[in-house]
Amino acid sequence: MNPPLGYNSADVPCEDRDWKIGGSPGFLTTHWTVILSAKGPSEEARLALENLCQTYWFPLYAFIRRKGHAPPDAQDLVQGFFAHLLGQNQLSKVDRQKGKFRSFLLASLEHFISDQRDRANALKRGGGQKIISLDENTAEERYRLEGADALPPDRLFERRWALTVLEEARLRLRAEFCAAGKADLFEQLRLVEGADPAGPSQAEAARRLSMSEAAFKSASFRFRQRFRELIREEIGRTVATASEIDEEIRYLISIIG
Amino acid sequence: MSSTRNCFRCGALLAPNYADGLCAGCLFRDAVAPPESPPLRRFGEYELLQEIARGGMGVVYKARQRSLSRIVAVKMILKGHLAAELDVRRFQAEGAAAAHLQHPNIVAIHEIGEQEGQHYFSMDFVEGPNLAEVAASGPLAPMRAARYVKTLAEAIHYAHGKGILHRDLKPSNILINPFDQPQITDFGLAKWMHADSDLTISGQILGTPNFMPPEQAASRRGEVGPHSDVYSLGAILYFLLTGAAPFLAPTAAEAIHRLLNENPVPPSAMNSAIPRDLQTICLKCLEKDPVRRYRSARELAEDLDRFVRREPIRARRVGPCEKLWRGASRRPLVTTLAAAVLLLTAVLIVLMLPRSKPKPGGVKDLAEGPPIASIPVLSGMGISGLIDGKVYLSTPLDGRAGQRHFFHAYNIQSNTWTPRADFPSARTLPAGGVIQGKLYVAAGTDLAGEPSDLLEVYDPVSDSWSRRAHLPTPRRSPAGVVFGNRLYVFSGRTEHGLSTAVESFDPQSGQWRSEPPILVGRDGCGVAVIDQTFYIVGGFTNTGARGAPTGITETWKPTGERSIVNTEAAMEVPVGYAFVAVLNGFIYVAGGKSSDSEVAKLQVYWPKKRVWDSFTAMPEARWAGSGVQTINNEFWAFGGWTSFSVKAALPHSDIFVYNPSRNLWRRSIPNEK
Repeated sequence: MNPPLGYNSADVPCEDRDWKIGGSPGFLTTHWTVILSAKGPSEEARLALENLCQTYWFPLYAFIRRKGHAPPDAQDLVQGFFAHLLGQNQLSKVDRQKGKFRSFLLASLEHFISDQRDRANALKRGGGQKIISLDENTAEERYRLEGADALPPDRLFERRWALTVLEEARLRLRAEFCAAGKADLFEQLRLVEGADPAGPSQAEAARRLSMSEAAFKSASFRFRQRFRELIREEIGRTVATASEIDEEIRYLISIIG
Repeated sequence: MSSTRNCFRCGALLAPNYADGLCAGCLFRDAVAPPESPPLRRFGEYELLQEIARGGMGVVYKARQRSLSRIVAVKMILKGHLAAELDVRRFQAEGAAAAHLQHPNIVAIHEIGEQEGQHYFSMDFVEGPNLAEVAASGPLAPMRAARYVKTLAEAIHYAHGKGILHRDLKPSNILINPFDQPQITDFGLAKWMHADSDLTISGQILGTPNFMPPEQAASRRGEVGPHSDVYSLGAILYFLLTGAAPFLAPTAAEAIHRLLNENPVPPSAMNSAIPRDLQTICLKCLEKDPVRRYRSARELAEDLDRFVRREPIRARRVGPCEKLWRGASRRPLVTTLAAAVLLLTAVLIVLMLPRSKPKPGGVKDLAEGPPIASIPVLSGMGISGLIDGKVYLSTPLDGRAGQRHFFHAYNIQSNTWTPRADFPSARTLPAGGVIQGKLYVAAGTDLAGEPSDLLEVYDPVSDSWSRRAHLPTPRRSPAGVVFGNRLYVFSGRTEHGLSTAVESFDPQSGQWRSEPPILVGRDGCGVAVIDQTFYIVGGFTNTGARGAPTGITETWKPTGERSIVNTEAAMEVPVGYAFVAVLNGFIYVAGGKSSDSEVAKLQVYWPKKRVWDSFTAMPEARWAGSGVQTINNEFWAFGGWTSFSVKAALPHSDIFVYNPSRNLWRRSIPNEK
């Protein structure tokens, strides 16, 4: 159902991802607030958490790898952690005061890891199951590609988290263009907006699309505008109230530096 | 193989597979919601946010222009659909007059239009109080008042040069921006000086009596001219110095009566701290007789400048005898004998007055300075270099492509031009520079109109040209700069399109070296070096002179390090074919050609702060000149074209000289026809 999450997911062709645009906006109902507001076991809250975990698994994987676990262990720990989180009524233990999903997830993971002394334990807990779709090769390749900097595990987790937010917003932006039958426009906008010296000029991109340059510029502006909105929406999924969105963005800016 | 990329806003290095042109930090910064007030209503592509001003005819809103996500001011006729034809015409005339003006101290008009039957125009939103509000709590310090009015006078002189009178200058029409710079708005009564029609109804007095000149108050329309705006500037100065307009009265009719029949109370009588010279300047503006005022807003600006610099002013004080004479002249019943005596006295006084320094015929110098002889021929698309106190300048005949070149040397000391050996290959808009006393001229367009790969060198000692190794990449209108005894040639247009190539020539080895390319190919860009970093500025990034220039500056180093300078701080008016040079760590970009007009603007970039600013514009727009030299810490722009259209472009012989410490231009003495 979900493709391997490569870093530059904008390269994934439109038809390769089962996007829920329009009728069933899979993203918008999975706010962290659904989880926080669930009283007792709730299927809706569980689905919401699963959906969020599916998006934010890579920062966890990077955190575990940076802690020194080997790739197979890291994969099992991630899956084991999700099995633990989703399967043992952990939701009812969510502290309403804990605030953001990001903090909750990292705290829960650290707690989980301290309970897992070896890989066997992890397996017992549910490792080996595929709770979420996690392509082992992609995960490790991506970790190697991005993990070169020497950040401590928790900083790496937060940094990857910030990048995942952007990645997810970008995927959704692309999905919207695809849904509107404008994949070509997205592709040209991506090339022009990508600061690639070899990329086309606005005039060239407009020519390729048989658009006027003015229309392309206007599309370019809307592209940025919508991207900005989607970043805010994505962050909105992980915080308890809308009023926390700006605060979380500022925190992520401080992480990115 | 992927090349390194930088965030196009902050220059941060981007990871190889990172998907966006903006770094994560910039994307998040964009996503932090600015505090926004909810719109009052939508109006076309504008969201009206707040009413900020309301006058007899129009209402002004702070608005957000959705397509560009920027805050602007939108002015519309108060009566909307019900506006009378005359009101609509007057309103449109205001927009049209102001739209004609591009000056840092005049609020810029963006768009004039009609939406849902409502006429409107949009303009810059200036965040700041107006001058009336600034002076509401009392008089300003004299020096501050003088500086404001000096700036305003320069801007008004510019408007006059464009054929536009404001006719309603008053403190509430002057906005003070966050940089403490005054900006003139509300051209509601503006008039085209040479237009036949005046959108006034017979007998109708337009303007605000308190700041209005007598000729306007008396409806002597034929007498209204630039001196009328000079009067209003003087009235504004009076107001700033004293906290009150010159002729206050309970009713407009009484105010007009006082205006026509009384002399203003000297400002120093109301505020003893006002320097005598500043009062003299102020009262000269407020003369009833237009002939006695400054002849132009520029003369006023110059005298205020002298005052600010604590130099002697040109205006003279009115002595007691003259005061008496003036009183007599307004009272025809004075005895003939007394009149004759006073007339004689006045004549004697006038004869004894210090006169303005006589100026050579027709010279329009804005700043004082040693006289400069214009280029002996019309000059554009040429090249120049400074060697041992002489500027060597080559320009095609009539400043146009496909012509033989004239080559002259200008001796700064003796202010003379001497013909030298003509530039043999006659290439237009080449790249060049001086290395060890010789002028190197590379690339450009040859006589056949083709991009050239020639490099020729002029040696002033032997007065001869010689040819050196060919450039690897032939190109038209590249940018050239000398750094570390090498001539660097950047970008330009090849027969295949824009080039990002950078090549450098080493006179020692006689070889060209290919350097790392720049990011964006440009035609007619400028290059400047500060702290070993090359800045590539402006230039046309698509189809040459017919396309649009870029406002994005990029930096480049011979090591291959390069980045796009913050796009938030792009040039205000992107230009190509401008005069570009470095002075005191700033990059000066004067004139040039924008996407739709020739430009007079002086745009200055401060690399340390990554900001652009605008200073006093060139006396006239110029582009595709014959180079720029920095001489005695001044910026000398040689020749150049006017007129936007290449076909109709006219080359000029003028040299415009900018003095950064005085923020003023002066121009060379025109050649006799």
